Amino acid sequence: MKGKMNKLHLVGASLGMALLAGPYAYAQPVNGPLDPVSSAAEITLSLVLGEVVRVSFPDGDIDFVYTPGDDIELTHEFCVYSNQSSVDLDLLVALTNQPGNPTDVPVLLSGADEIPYSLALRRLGDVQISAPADDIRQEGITIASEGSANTSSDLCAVGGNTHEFQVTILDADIAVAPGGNYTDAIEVTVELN
Amino acid sequence: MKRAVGFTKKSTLLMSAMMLSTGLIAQPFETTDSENFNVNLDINQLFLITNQAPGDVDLAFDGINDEVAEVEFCVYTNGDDVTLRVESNNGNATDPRLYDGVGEYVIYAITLENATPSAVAFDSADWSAGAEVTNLAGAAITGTLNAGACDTTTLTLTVTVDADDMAAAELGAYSDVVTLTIEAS
Repeated sequence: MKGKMNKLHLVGASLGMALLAGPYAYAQPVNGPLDPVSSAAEITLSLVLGEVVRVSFPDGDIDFVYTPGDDIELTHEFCVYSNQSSVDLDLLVALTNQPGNPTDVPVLLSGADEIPYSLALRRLGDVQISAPADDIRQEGITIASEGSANTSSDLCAVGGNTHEFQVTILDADIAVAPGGNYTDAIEVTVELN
Repeated sequence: MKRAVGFTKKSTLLMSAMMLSTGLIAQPFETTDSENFNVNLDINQLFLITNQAPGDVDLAFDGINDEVAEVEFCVYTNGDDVTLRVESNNGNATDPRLYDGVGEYVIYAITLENATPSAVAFDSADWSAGAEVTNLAGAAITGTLNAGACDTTTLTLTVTVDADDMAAAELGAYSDVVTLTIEAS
């Protein structure tokens, strides 16, 4: 993913970037001499890299598998990368389905039919940063001044995942829902402070 | 008028007799004469490469896209083919590279394209340190320079830095010096 919003089926990601202002600034041409042996010209290339951040979902979307009688409980990891040695960023979670009040619990939708679910956000290693577990509502959340990120590699497979969602859907809610394909989309945005 | 003509003839005969007595072979003086001498000017093949625009290049990362910049050159020779050598001051055996001065590198790509005929003359996918492009005939202007000025773009160098490579690099200021040298093939 290179920076543009990537809304995934149920779980999505977006990218916050510290953009660099940088119109080309050109110097005067550098001319080589007229010479019977050889002529050479030089150019100097300069690249300034500022702070960047990226959020990725290496495992893609979540496809729930329902076994009657069992609640669905799973975690879904993702990776926040920055090229800084330490980070200070805001992490925003937005939900697509918002049929009710902003403070209602999230829902999967199939047309007008709903299945409520709970969504928690943690740092990897069980440090929950959206407390309590059902605290993420249809209005989403903003985690301010988050300091956890992978700063070693932009490849999640190398630098490792940094955060995870915990998703819970109760068997009781699924069992009474009409048949259908129930979905929601979660968008995560990371912004450098 | 008649007297003047008679004097001239007499004098000519006298000079001819003196030369014969010393053993020299000489033609009689005539009323016209010519002599030849050679003027030689060897013009060797000359080479000139100039950076037309924009000179040095400042690159930046917008966080999303590859960074691409073009630099235009005029390559002139009064002969035929030329060889062009491309060198990256911070490159290695496999890639041209930008360097931050403290140990971090960002690789980039170079392509060279002839203006006429339009064709890619070099691609750093084939990079080796001090890469050479031979027979760059299509990129060279042959003929007369306009008052010594090479003012027509014949070769375009394109620098491309991949967005993923920039995203993976530590923040900092990176640079490189690219040298293009032309010489006889």
